[in-house]
Amino acid sequence: MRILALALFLASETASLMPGTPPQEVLTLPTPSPIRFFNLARSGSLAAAVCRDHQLRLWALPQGRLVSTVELGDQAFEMTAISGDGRSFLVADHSGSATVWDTSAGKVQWQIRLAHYPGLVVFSHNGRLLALAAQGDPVQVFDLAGKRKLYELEQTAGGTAAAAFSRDGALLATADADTGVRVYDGHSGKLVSRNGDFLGEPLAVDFTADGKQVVAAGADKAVAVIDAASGRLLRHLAKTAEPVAYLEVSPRGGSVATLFMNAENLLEPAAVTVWDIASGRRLTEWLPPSLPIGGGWTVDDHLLVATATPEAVHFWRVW
Amino acid sequence: MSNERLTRRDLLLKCAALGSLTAAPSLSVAETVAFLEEQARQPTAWDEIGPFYKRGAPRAAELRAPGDPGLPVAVAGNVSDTAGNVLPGASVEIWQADHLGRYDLDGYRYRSALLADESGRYSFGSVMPGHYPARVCQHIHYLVSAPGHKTLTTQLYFATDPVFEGDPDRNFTRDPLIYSRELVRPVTLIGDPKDIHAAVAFDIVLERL
Repeated sequence: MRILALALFLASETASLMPGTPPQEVLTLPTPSPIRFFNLARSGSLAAAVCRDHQLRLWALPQGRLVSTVELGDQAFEMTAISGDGRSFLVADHSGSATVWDTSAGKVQWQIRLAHYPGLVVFSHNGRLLALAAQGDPVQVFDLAGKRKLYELEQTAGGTAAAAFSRDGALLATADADTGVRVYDGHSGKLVSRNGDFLGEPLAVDFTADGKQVVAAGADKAVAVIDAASGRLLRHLAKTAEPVAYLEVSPRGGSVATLFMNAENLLEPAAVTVWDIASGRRLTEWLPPSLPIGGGWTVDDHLLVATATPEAVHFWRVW
Repeated sequence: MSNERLTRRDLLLKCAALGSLTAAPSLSVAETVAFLEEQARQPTAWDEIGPFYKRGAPRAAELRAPGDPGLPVAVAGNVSDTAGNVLPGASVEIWQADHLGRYDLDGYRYRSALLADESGRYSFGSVMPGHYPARVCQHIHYLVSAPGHKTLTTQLYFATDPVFEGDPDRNFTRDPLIYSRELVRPVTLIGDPKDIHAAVAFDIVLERL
């Protein structure tokens, strides 16, 4: 599942792109060492990369200016994540040691111990909550400012593949290996609803902008729209050719971007598609030149995707 | 009286009653029995479920269709708890890639939902799963559950996997997902050179809730 962690999307303020325009490379960030992990803050102000030289490099966006470099040590990292405002950056290694860094100070903010290697890490939109799970274990939710664990979700067989907070943090949705899509109260961890319509494992989940619906997809090769309060399946978008590895709803809520996985070869790139949620219409589709390492929606509802070469990160404007 | 239904605990208690099991002076008989039970069998090691589990698989003991390419393999084992009690009716869901390393996401090829029989035994026939990119070793996924026991996700690996270069003791960590050497099982080759089958034993031990 860690390969799915590569599929993290970028949020950044950029100029608009006319529909139908082929994806263009809009920014290149040179990297002195090849990238292992890459994240961008939803605020669009910061990009972060952990490179093979064990340095965390932080760039201010949209200028692409390198603002700091942090020595992370010799841990073998398995997963990284950045908070929405870019202030907190989490790295977790194979032993289950998770470290939250304060990016502005370049200092360790908090350390959390998991039973073993991480399976999931997600910040809430305001960066105050952190959902974290060892692979196969229940999701734990932490209050970052208070440095305390708030609650733990129920154990599900096989654990959780993906999770997302609603924009106000009131709800937390999980895509679980037992094929359930669950919605919990974001403050208490109490189960709100469960959808059981998936046959294959859902691998990606997000809320619509108003938090009333959950968009989920995975090995079933179809994007489902689910009522968050009841767990009832509302509709499917069109059937897809490949499993969905990651999805993210646009800031204005009208579109959802899906990153597919190439089931024949997980190391080869698969398409990125943008859908209109209301109609299920496919707005655009693009096959990246290599496996995406990150990406996301801009605040004005455009989609950027990042790929990497040994020397640089390349940003492509897809929609 | 038949002792077919005797559990390991029953036997230990009977031994104690008959004087053939002696408790250490500092331990009661019950404590001794509990200690011996705990030591009896370790639960099967956990492994991650992987991304391609699919519920609703048919109960098929033969996953290999006639003419399927790949090395035929027969897998069998018992499902029990840590006290050695067999678990009839335990659910054993298994799924794997075909001999070329491809999972069937659209149907249920090489997927089955078995039930352990009265003696806790399960078995199935398949083909040796292939390697695929982003994963080091050949493997078969397991999801095992029984009432009153912790549900187990794990994976079965094969000592003959070329990745181990004949030495799984030394090389099993080449796949970072293999946490326990015990999950790498010996493979017995059966038949004449023109019709070789592989056989693998894989017992499952579940923890009580």
